[in-house]
Amino acid sequence: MSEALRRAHPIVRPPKPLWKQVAEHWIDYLFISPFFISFAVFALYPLAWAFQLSFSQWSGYGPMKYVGLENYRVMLKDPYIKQTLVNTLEFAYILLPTGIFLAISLAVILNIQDLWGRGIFRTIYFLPYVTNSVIVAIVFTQLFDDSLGWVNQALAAIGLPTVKWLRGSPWAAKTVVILLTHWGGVGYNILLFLGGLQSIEPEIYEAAMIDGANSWQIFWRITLPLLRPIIFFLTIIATIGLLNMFNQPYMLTRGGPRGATETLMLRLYDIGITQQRYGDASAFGFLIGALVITISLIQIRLQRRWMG
Amino acid sequence: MLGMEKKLSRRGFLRAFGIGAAVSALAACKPKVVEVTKVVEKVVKETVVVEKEKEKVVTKVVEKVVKQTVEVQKPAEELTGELIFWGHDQHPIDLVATGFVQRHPKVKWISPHPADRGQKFTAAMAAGSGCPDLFWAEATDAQTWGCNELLTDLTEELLPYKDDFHPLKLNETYIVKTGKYIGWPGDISVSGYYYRPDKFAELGYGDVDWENLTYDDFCLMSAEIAKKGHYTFCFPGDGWAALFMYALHQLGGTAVSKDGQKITVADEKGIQAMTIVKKLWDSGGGLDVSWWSAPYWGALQDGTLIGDFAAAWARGFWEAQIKTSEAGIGLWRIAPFPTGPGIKYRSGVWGGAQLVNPKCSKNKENAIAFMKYGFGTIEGAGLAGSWGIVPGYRPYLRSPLFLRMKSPVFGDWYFNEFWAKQEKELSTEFYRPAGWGAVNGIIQKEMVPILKGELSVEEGMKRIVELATPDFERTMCKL
Repeated sequence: MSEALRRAHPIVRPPKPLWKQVAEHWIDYLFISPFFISFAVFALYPLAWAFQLSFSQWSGYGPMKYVGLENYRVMLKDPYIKQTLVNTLEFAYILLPTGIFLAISLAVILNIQDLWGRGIFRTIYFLPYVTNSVIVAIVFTQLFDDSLGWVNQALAAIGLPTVKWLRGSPWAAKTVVILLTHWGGVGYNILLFLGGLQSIEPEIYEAAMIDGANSWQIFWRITLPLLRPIIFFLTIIATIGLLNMFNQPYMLTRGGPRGATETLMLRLYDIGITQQRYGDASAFGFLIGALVITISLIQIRLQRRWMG
Repeated sequence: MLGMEKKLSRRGFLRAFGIGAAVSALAACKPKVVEVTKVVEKVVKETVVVEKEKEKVVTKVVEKVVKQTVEVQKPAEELTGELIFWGHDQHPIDLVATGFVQRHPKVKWISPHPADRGQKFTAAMAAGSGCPDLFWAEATDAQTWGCNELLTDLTEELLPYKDDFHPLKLNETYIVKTGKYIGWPGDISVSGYYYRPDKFAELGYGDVDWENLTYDDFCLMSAEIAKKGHYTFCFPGDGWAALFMYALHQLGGTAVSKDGQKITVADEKGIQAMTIVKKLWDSGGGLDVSWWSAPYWGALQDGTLIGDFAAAWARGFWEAQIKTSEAGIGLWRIAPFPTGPGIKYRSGVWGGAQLVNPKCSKNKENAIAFMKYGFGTIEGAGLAGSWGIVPGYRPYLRSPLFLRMKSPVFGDWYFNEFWAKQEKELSTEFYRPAGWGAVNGIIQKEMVPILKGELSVEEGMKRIVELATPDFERTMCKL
């Protein structure tokens, strides 16, 4: 083969087979194996088993009975699926924009350099995030108790009518669940936005000010567009979290009053744990998973378009 | 100056780290320093100044605690090995165990009171190992497990005792599908209306004829009392299925058919029962707090709540809460449930567990002997009954040990004479088979639109059946 020909067609070596690569780098693979082993044992295997279970009827004992797609059919016809889906989406699409707006606003305030007690406020806002959610829910139950709650005591003290927050009115119960979720989650969101704000070069702001931009214009034209990646990330993560919402309504209202705060996850818990219908619960879990993935994919597409 | 700025290289850092780690490891491995503690005696002189208290006149309500002595007979047979029981803390079965172990000293009683017992019990039965020998099971749970052949067949053991239990309690231990008895009747869970006669008298109702009081009269009275700021029962604003079940029981109805194949809450009796419950709701006499919550007990203690519908086993909870004269210690009484058109029984059931032995248990002989002792002898039933439950064993219910019992809540009144009478007021037509829990849950969830008049009783009950059917069909015991 002439030199000219060799230059035109460089020799491409066929890739080594996987086993050969593994054999060559076995020490490297050995070091990363603990994660993969634990992932396979504690995540992959249960997931595969649950998938198999979703095609079977099983109460936790005795042999599993294969029923094909029957569990999925039953779950799609479940009388509470519509109500729980509406509740979940309602929570998600109230909490998501308000949560991001609240977090950005607070992060911008907490990012002011000469703000007095900046560190203390940051800690205070972050504290609920690291506090056990059960304890937080107990505190909220005490605050909003119909008879002995502080909120009603305060309302009565100023001559206003009291509200049956947790067991009477559906809107009141929803409000308390939303408040608790915001209170517990806003600290984490603030932290992310603060990180984003601090990564914006001060020169950009200086240039804008030299050009005569006011504070609102700077926020709207510089800060917010530069925070887009964080908003994008938070929207996806928060949507997934909110569609799987369980703790807050479970601990505050158990889904009441009249199912107003019953989310998809609460219904799943009722079917799986209370009624021990593990096959149905698995099918329902996969349906919720499919919904979460679909909504997340739509969001990713829309946001990619928004981000250009 | 430049020469002094010596950068630490990666290799240098690793070397330093390695040496540090080696030194630490060596330090950790070195022999332990033995500390010698010298004991030095120090004499301390203390002068205690005692101030003489001023004499005070204190009015103290002295609780009269009635202690019962149950004589334990000698062992009838020699049993050995272990006996493992799973139940909640401070369980009546633990009291029975004291007598049982005296009878059978070679049996080791193990009662760990695990949390999440139901789930653990199910998991143990599914695995076929790690099971307890005895489990305190609610009726509908026992029915579900029995339907799945997870519990020991007690038919032969229970048959000689058949006449010693109310048929309702026997029904709850009987699996229609298999034709077997799988549990030993425990708490009878008979119910009545707890009330404070002193408060009723204060409010102008000192002469209520409780024996003949109808629901209509009760609702009228409750409405009048509510106007004065007192409540005659608890009715949480988000519904209370127990009241419906009580009324249904009284009418001779049942939520689920005897064979467990059909939901029957929308039949004539179901509609009538919900009508009674709606009347109670409309009277406004129900205190809107969560059942047995802190505000509930607060209202009971300060005399705002002057009565409630509850099971016999509630006595233990009343005793824990009713401690002062303001709370009516010694003054409480119990009456039969109100009567009315179509009502056949003056009582109802709420709760009421039974003892079961899982097939995977290792000490079956001991478990069955325990059941026979605990709920098949006056001695054993007496020990369980001293806790606050009412064991369903009829010879015990007729014994002075039961009938002469007293409680601080009821003062000198022999309250068990009332419960013995109420036992005869239990329905023979009320069933709680597998699937009952799903129906009860939907009633709790969906009764408010009926109570608020958004749906008629007939429409509401029909809707409840429609909503409960998918859950019921998936949890019932199919024949």
